[in-house]
Amino acid sequence: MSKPLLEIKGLHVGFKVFEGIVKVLDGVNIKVWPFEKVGIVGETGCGKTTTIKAIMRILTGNSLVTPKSEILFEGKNILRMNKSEIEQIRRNKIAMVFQDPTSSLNPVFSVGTQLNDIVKYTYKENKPGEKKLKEDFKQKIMQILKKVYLPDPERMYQSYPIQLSGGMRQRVCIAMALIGRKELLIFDEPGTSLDVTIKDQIFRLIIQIISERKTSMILISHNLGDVKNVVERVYVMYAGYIAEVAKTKEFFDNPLHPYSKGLLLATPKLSGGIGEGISGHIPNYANPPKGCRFHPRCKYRMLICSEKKPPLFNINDSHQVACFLFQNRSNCK
Amino acid sequence: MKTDDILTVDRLKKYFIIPQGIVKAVNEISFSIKSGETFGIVGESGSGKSTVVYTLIGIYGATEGNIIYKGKYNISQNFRKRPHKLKKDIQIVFQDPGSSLNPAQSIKEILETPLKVHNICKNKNDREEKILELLEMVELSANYMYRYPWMLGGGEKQMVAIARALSVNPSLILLDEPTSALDVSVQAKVINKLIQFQKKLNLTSVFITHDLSLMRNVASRIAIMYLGKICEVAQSSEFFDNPLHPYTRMLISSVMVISEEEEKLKPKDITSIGEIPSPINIPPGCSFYSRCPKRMEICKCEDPSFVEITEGHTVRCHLFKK
Amino acid sequence: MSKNIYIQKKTSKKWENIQRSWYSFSRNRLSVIGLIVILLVIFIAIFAPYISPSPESAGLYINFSGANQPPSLSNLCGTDGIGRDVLSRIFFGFRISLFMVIVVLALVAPFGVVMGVMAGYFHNNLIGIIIMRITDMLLAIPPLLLALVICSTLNPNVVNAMIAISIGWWPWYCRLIYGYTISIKGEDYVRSAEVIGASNIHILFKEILRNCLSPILTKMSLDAGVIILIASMISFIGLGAQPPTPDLGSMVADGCKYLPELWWISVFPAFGILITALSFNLIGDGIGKIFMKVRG
Repeated sequence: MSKPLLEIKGLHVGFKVFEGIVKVLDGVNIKVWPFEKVGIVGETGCGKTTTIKAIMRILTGNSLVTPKSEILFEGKNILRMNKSEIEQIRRNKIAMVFQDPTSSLNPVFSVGTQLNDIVKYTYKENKPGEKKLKEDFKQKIMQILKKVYLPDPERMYQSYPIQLSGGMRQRVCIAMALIGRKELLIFDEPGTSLDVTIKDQIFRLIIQIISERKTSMILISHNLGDVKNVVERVYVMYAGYIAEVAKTKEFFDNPLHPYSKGLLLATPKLSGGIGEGISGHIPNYANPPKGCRFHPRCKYRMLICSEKKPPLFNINDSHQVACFLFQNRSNCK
Repeated sequence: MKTDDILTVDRLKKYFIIPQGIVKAVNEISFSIKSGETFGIVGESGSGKSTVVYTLIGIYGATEGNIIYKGKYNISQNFRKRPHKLKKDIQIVFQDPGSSLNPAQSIKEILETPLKVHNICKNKNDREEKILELLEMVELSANYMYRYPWMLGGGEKQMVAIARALSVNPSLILLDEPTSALDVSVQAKVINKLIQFQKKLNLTSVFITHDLSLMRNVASRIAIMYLGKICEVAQSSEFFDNPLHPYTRMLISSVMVISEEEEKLKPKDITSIGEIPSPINIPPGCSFYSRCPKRMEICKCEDPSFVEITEGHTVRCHLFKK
Repeated sequence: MSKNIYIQKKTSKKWENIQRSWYSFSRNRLSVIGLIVILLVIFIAIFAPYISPSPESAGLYINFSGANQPPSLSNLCGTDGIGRDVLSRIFFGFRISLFMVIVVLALVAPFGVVMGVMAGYFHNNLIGIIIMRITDMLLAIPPLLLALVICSTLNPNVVNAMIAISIGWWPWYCRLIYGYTISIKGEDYVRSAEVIGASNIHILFKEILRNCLSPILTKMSLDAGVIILIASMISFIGLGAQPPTPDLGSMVADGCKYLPELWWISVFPAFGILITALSFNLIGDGIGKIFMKVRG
């Protein structure tokens, strides 16, 4: 069996703030295999953006990553890399499309200028002797703009972000991530600020690009519906740890973790029906609950839940749940 | 206009004049709302749904047309020209909980303002008690009184906004995408609370959203808007079981669903294409012409008029002529 | 729950907010240094008569035999042309500088801010237009020049210098708050108050101005430094404090004729101006950061 492309092992991240140290990530374990599409679903504040920022090493200054945490990319620990190795990763290996296209694009530079910067940065080291011509760069940019189905690439090159609609800006951001050969693409809630029909188009574009380019993908969302038809495996995150992971079909047919079940029930159905929300609210990270972080909100909580943190129990080869309800159903990890 | 109609909108227009031309944000719409009903308006950005709500609440004054409230008051004007007592009868909950609460005021001060403006309570003590009551109603503990909005989560902020709107006992409440900025589980809580309030207080509400799955569970009657005009109006179940207008079908087919039975509801003959055009200087003819997969020659030059297909189900499209 | 618990909670929340603000402020070492220096200056200014080595130097005092002495153990900053102790005069000079800063800011900030918020909220009406045109006219003239013109027409003294600075200063606050008001005006919480029927006074003061504290306080602390400089410049020319009042600017002016041999007569007062103005600037930076974090 091949090695995973990206493996996050025991990631613990905290932040130093007025209230003390907030322990946001509490041991995150994620694996992404080559050419695999993985989704991470979780609500606001669960730590998914923090995880992604940890991968790209762009956490804020007051962040604390414990020494035992590991983020292995192609076998090497990203958290221990030096500056030039990280730059290599960002140049040729991992690309990220951020959540809000409006704030991802610099409003005072044209689209062409911004894409040009990225092209220059990406190809900077490839052929150190050869001087790249401006025309070559522009060619590459035109190609990329056509790839994301932006109408009239010539005009797009000269336009400023403010002249573009939300959908077009999102396409530009995706184009930026496609420059150069990348092994892993990370999309952070790509449809959030977009209309329903535009979001549908963007998702279809993403699916097409991923299948053409044969890269791995991590798609982050707070909506279960977004990931259903796009990813092969689903991770459900809650309060800084992975609650459940399973293959997509199995997850939607048979969700096990009480939080996953609650989420699915709470999603309004087009055919009618909206469940109750999950009572309570996300924990205070400065003083998180002992044991399972979900137990204060859980209908099925037992005594052990408030004492010990549940590990991920194997239900079958691809389905794992971090919940003591399933301790007997599995062979402990 | 029937006697139990709490709100009648008659050929309402709201135009904005900008240097590049005229933006016809609301381009002649008419509808009525019965007392106790939840009327939903669905549409994407640029459709004009928020403008409709802002005109109803008085942030904008209508350019043309009439809005008749409770059969006797004409409230087409800007809020500054409306009678003071009407201001408490119609309330609004805004979309973004982060900006609808003043970050420099504590929750207590935020909830006190409407009470003070309309002299709901006789003195300071009564006001404090009423505020405690309001907080309890939205299931927030009394600790929240002295907190500031930035200390609250999105759902809690929205609950405060709802409590603020209900503090003056309105008859009509306008909800402009109240849960778009919230997570799914929080949204479910807020929506369930809203439905509860509506039943208990016999509120009439106008609910705006772009989320069709949510609309299905909230509204009793739904209107869909595109570029300033209403395309189709129907009862909630009819709207989803039998969508007629091509835009309605396109929108429903774009919804991301999680179960098989929902997939079956989605029209398979249409996928979304194109983007909403600029609302500046809209060309004549049907506003949906540029994106419609079923367009015909006549759609380019003539704007269709409303046709009633079944009881309560009207559609504005050349495909359906009487 | 009894009323007392609420009062407790209210005060404990207020205390918590103060602690929180201090936490954000104290992250910046430079701002804390600035604060310490200013507190020291304030202390010196208040207790000047008690801690000066030679309090009589601040008034009419002549001691020609001890004049023009370089810095020594008995006169840490030396003596000036008439034999007055420079260090004591600096201590008393801080009093005047701080006095001017406080009075000018107390006049200028409230007036400018109120004008600004009215102009911004009613910016399409006559009130707004009139206020902004007056502001534009006053802003077209460099503040120092304006202050000098006013000072030269009135009798030169500290009070008139303050009036002169104030007249040219309030428009800056007006314009700052005008801009802020226009951007806050469209926010949902202001609209919410409008449609509920709140009075204009409520909206201007409770809704809009409460959110302008950050730029106002930041500007006030940055201004404090500049006001000291401008006051010093006015005194340097001779239009501000008159002798024997120990004003830092006039001390620098007096000492100029003795440069470079008797350097201490100018340099130490100039240094006093420098550290006061600089420290106010550093505090201003820190204050800006408090509000950034709190709104975070």
